[in-house]
Amino acid sequence: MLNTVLLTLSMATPLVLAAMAGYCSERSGVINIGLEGKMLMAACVSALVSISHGPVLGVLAAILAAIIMSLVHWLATQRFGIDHVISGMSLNAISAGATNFMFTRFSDPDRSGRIGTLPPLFYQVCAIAAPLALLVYVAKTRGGLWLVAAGSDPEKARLAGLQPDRIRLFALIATGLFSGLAGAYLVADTGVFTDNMTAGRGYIALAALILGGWRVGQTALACLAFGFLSSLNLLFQGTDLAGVALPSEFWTSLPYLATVIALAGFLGKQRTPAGLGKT
Amino acid sequence: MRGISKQFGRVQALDNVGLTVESGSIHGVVGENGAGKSTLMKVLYGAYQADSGEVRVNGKAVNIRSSKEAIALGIGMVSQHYGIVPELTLLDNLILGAEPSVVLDKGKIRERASKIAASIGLDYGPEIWDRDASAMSASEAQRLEILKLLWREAKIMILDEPTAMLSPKDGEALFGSLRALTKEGATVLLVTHRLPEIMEYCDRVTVLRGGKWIADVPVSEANPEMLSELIVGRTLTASERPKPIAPTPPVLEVKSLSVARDRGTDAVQKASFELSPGELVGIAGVDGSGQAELFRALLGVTPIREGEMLWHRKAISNEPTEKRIELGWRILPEDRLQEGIISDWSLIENSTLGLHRLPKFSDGGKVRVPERAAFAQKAAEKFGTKHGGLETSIGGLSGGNQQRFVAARMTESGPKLFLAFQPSRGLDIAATEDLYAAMQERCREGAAGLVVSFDLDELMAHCHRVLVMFSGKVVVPAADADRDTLGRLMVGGEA
Repeated sequence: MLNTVLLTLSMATPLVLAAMAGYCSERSGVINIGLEGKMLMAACVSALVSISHGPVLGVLAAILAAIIMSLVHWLATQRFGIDHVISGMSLNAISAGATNFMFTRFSDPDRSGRIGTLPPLFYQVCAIAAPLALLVYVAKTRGGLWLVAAGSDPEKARLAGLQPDRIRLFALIATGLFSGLAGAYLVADTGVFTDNMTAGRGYIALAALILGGWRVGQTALACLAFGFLSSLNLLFQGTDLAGVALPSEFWTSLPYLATVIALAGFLGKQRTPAGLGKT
Repeated sequence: MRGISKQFGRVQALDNVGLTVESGSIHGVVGENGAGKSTLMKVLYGAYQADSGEVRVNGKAVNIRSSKEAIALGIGMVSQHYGIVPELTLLDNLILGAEPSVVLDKGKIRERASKIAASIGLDYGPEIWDRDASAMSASEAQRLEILKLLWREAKIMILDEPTAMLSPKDGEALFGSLRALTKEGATVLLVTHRLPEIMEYCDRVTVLRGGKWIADVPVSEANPEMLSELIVGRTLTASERPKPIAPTPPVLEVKSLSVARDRGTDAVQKASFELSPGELVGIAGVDGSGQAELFRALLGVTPIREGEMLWHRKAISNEPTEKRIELGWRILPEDRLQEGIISDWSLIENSTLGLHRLPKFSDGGKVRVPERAAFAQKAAEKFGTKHGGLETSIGGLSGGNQQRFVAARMTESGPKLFLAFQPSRGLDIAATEDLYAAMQERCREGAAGLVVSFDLDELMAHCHRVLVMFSGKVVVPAADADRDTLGRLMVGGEA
């Protein structure tokens, strides 16, 4: 039982961080399908820099890398008017190729053992603190009000004297921060970097965000639910349930299956920020 | 404001226009669509930059480059399309862009907000402030816009067509509070099409026509005939109210039609009425009485819960919208931007929007390009839509010009039945007269028309009969019911 709880928390950590990254971006009105790519890039950079410069710089470099990717997304969507989904997908594609190239090229192929990282506990605390901080930020501060206004109706926000472009710039920096942490955690958790190690977590986080109706608390809960399903995978893989040996692929596919079913079933109620993708 | 000029592409929106407003007064700005009223106001509010000219506020020359700077100078504006962000609460909307501090003390803010509301006679408790802005009616949104100006301590308030969506009673209340505010030193700039508002509430009035300054007169020396001549540049002949026509077998019969809402009571409750060929029938009522839902149900866009509709005695309730259009049904929708046009498309493409499947415009899967272009030309000419070319996107036109075009699409495409929602929205007097004349013309040719308007006088002046909607119910008063009777019915009273 305790085992399940701990596993759930550990599986949910990157999801919560990534979902909060998505929250900042999408609440400000920028569609962010590129969470996956940002996480993957952050994981790779954190692994490389941790090996050469130690764990602290490793995390910082991961965050920086994710922020840079976020800023590229901001430039593409807000300055050059490129479609948000297309920009996000290209960042994902670049990330998938670049991380594979960088890691095989710059790391020592004979190196063995774990990569030295910050303890996973650090990230888990972040994953608990981030939603709480965002909750307070959105409900109680000027910046939070601006964030939601820019995402809800940028044109009207502009009439009220706000500058949606700038609000989105800061929102995307926050997205970089959270997705950087999410990516670095994957390396801290496993001790290695492997090709495409995010394995769709960025998309699952996005699904959690949609399920949570772009609200912090509900999104975090959705992440926990996905984390629980992922933990089932590790717990039950290869064991018999009531005498039936379910194939391991069943358990692996469970979170993804749940994503599809949940999205299909819950999308009835529209809560999408109205200004998503608008200028 | 002196010598203000502004050009949009090939259109000279403002040509050397001046405007002087005395502090503490209500100053009307009138003119036809495209006269440049809204543009002039947006220059003052920093939403547009003038190409030339200067602006002085309290005697000091200022350079207003953005709305933010205008707000800082004490200038506030309520635009025709309200600046309310739907996903925020009323309180959040109130303070947006003018928050008192980085960390928001909602308790304190609510207290001050309620105090401000009380100052114009509104009793707003905490439960109202925490409501979602999307649930507001038009008049509530209007009030919130005024409160926003007060929250910003705006000394110069620009109101662009503030009563377009209000019932007569709400309109009066609005002017009552504006009057009170000017007594406390506020200055109000009122852009409007409605001359009675000028005559009753304004101190001075400036008339613009075609982007040029025409006149500036104290209201005490003006009269409506003189003003409308200045506005239009020619003398208008007031149209005579058409007499009710002799009953003939109806073309459209609506029988105890109910339309469900998301939750709660039905939006339309057992509506029953008939339209005869050649009849133009108005539906009066305050905004939100179920008119929009009734129209959507008639057009087959939303399903009906019970009841039926007959067209030439044949049930039509289950026919798709496409079929109804094929039968000659046409609509002028309520929300032009959302339902009437595709902003990025050209006038030509928009001219057959919804009509594109008619054999006249389509040859199987192929667009009949010349026919479509000819129709667009005709539609643009009908009510004198000002545009920069039929190939340019319709989004670049002013609201009034878009409305002219969309209205012509309805009247010029051979309607058998037309449903017009607030047809005069954004139109000036002359264009409104032209549009009703066109609708009456179609009726003389045998079409039937149903017009929703929140302006009872407009309906009474142009329609054969006026029905009333109140709280989802359709009341069919006597054909000769007078204004008082209809006004009572609009707020739920007895005939």
